[in-house]
Amino acid sequence: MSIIAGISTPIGNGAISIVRMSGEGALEVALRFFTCKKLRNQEIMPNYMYLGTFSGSNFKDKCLFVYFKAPKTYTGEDLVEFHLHGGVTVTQKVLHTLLENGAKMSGNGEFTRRAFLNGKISLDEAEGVLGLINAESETEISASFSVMQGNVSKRIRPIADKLLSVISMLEAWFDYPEEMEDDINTDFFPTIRDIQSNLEKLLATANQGRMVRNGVSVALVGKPNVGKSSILNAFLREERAIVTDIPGTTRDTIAESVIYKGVRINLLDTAGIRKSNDIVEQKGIERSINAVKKADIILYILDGALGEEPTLDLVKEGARGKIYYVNNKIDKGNSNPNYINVSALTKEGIDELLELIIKEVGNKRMYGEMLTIDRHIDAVANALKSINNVLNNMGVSYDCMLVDLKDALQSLLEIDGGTASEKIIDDIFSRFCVGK
Amino acid sequence: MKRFFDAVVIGAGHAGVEAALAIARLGKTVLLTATQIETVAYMPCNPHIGGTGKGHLVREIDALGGEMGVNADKSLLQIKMLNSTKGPAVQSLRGQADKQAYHDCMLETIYNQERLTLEIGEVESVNVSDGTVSSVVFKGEEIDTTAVVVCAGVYMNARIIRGEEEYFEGPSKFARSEKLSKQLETLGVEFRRFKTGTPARIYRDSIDFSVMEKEDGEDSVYSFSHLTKVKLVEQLPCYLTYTNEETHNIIKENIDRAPMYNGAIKGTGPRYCPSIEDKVMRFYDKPRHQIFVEPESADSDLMYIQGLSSSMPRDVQEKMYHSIKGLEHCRFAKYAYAIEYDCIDPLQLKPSLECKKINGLFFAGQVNGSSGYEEAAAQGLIAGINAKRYLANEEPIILSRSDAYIGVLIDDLVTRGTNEPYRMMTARCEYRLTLRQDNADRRLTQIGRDFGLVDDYRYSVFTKKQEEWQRVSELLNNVSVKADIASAIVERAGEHPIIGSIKASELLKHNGVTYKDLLPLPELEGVDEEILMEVAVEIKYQGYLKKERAAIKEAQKMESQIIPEDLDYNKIVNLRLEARQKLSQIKPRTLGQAGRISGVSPADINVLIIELLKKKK
Repeated sequence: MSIIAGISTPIGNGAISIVRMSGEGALEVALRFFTCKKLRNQEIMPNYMYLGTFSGSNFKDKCLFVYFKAPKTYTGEDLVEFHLHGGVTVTQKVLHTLLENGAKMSGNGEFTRRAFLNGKISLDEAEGVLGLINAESETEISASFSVMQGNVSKRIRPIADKLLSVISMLEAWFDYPEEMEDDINTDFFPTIRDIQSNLEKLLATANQGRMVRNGVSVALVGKPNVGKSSILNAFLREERAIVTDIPGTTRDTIAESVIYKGVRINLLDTAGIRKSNDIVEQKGIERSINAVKKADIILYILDGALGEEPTLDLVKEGARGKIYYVNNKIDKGNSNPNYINVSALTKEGIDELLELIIKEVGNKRMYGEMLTIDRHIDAVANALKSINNVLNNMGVSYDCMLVDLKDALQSLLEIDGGTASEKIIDDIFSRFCVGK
Repeated sequence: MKRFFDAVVIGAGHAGVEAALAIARLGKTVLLTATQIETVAYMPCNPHIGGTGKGHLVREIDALGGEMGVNADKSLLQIKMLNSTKGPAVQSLRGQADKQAYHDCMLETIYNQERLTLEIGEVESVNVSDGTVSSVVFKGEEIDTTAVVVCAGVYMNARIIRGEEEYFEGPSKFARSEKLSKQLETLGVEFRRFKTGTPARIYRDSIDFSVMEKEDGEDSVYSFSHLTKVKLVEQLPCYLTYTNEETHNIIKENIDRAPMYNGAIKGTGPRYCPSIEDKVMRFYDKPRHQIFVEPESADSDLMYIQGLSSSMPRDVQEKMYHSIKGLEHCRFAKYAYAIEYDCIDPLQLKPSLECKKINGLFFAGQVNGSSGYEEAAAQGLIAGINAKRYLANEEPIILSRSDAYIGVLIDDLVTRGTNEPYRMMTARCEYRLTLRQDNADRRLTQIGRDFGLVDDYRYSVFTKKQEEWQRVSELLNNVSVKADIASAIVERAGEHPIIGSIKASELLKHNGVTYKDLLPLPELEGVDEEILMEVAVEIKYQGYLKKERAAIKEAQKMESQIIPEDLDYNKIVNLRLEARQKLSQIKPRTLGQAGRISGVSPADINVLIIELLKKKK
């Protein structure tokens, strides 16, 4: 069976979350990303928990890892589990890393289904699947979900149609070689390249889509006492962070969420970044740097009262998101045309700053056209993989090319439901005059 | 005294002869009935066997021990490998068959077959007691039997339509089956009307071939049967011409006289073989359509005009045909016609082709809503085998979608049903690279041997070929090709030269390199070309084949989960209503089959899984 992966704990809640992967070769995929001192010179043992690091392409996180060896596992196949820190971001990054490296997104109840097919499951366990099915239909009746889904398929459908037209032309040519002599055009690669670039564009919206769903994360950084917590409070409009005049009060990154014009903004307050001998504060600083690395947007807060200029190179510290320089305390000092000028005290400029943040997520009317659902992202990514296969193996015979083209079509059709083969045959006879 | 046969096969067309031969060869007595002697293995439409997808079926029938391939080889006028440049998965054999010879040869085989009795007349009714077949009434005589295979083709309640003319008869004026479908209806079998058609037959000496394009057969090494050793030397040509604007205008002007358009025909016609009026009306702007002129038989003076199927009145047909280059002065031996007939909805059948409602009653061929000689023969073979297994109280043989095109064909019919005469196409097969025509024997002959239809001779030919296959396979893995020779080969295919020597099997994997490039290697001297070709395909397409194998393995897990026949879907509350209805109607045999029913979702399958677990408890 192919490898499937999925998040096995409720998303967003809880102290830990578990990503599970099942199938022949699951361990090999896992060990490309999980490293641990113990495993450097010894074979992994089943049913033991290892503490180590999951290293993705642009993130690292400590986690616990277990390997269960087939057939004595839940699914009856090789099964691995990553026990990660709770929260959405890391969990999803781990999942996406696995999906990009050979695993397929598991369908609802698919782990249980495999357990059944391999004769591993009791009735009680299977009843759990039923719960999942009900949960699925509840989500589906929610209006926002179906609107979102409808809009995504609006973007995917023209791509799928274009692909279908190439496939049905070739299939008609296979099944009616003589009658298709006049209608066959074997120079269809420009169309395939066009499909490739459309899929790439669509996939690029996945990141934006994720922000719509999970919120855009904003880190506030700056020297101690520049007013980071005050700005946070201005956003929240309530006293949440402890604001005092003693530098270095905020030692934790505080995650708070505010919904502004329908967009969730996850605020990461950070301890000030500076050299410190206080161990507790050092920890806080370390965390701040982590927050900088994770954030979609970084607000670098400057003390306007002192006319402060930025001194830290955040990109060097690992920042990947957009950086805005915010000149705070303009009630006490001068505004600076190079920066965004605000006053946390008088709330001047705060709404403008929030506008700037939600702009990052894109035009609101576009939300529905972004890929927001993991299953959709997975489907588009798989389709793109198959299309890339076609373009990388242009010398193979047409029947092999069709294997990848049909895989790509099937992936895209999975979003709407429907099978490729029936659509292809209908299309052949509606477009070509074949048959004797 | 009442006569008794183990089985009765009704109809001796392509399905009926395969069914009857299989039953007799497996050791049971069988009565084969035909409305007229001429209908035995008769080809009422086009004069070829095979073609895309259909060629696969013929090879598979042959590999399992059926007759069609052997019989076709005996009556070939021409043979061709279609799609030879598009890849091994979509290559199919097509042979022009001599219709008379095909009928004569098959008749001889039937007469020589022990335990098989051929008689002429109509079976009027099938008698059932306790839901199980007990006897048939044949020309007024009650004959006891245990199993019946209905292979009535297009003969039940057939109606021929040509313009305003209408005849209650079968193809070529043969006697139709008058009573059987009405009687079967009283047993609860549901019927519907399908339609198909055939073009005119034209006298050879009235055609001007000099203005048409000549289409020769290939000098080929091919034959349908794995047993045939003599290859065809002399081949009869076919000819190609086209319709034109005038032809189309004649049709458009007279379209109100076409039965399909004025409501005289109500049956559902196939998209797969449309009439010329259908083509012209549906593809209004297409400037021309191809017409192939093909010999019916070496001894006959009739030519088959492929592409000009029609149900127009005679005078319109004459005008249409006469407007075509080379047919200006043609004389009609038989006019084109449409035929409407009773057939069943195949969803009433189990994958064994036995009727769900009546034990021992099997259906095969065009009566199941398929179209084509090969599709009919394939079903006939499987129905025959399973009728015998029913008699012997053995489990039925069910080929899966990953075993054979035959499996795809039957699964499509009994799981998805069809709203028009069903034609086999390679596009319907999801494991196309695995199910090739070249490896049909390696896929199926062992299966055929296991259930007893592959005789010692066929089996010895097969095992000898297997050994040679193994030897050639090892040879290609061991022979190393020197850099200069290998480079010359890949450079011809447009690739960069090779440094150092290379194994022949590795060389094959380069783009554009084929088995033919390896033929001159001294180590491969004397190797059978066909076997080399087959081995080369396996090597060259390794990556894609591996991918298909993984998909097959996955599908097989679902196929191995058997659903009890008596499962009451209406009592499973969590199934959606549509799924409940569909599942109750089709009664899938496995979870895999259930998943392919339109209207059954993955969530429904999960519900079924839980239900199966409850049953096991």
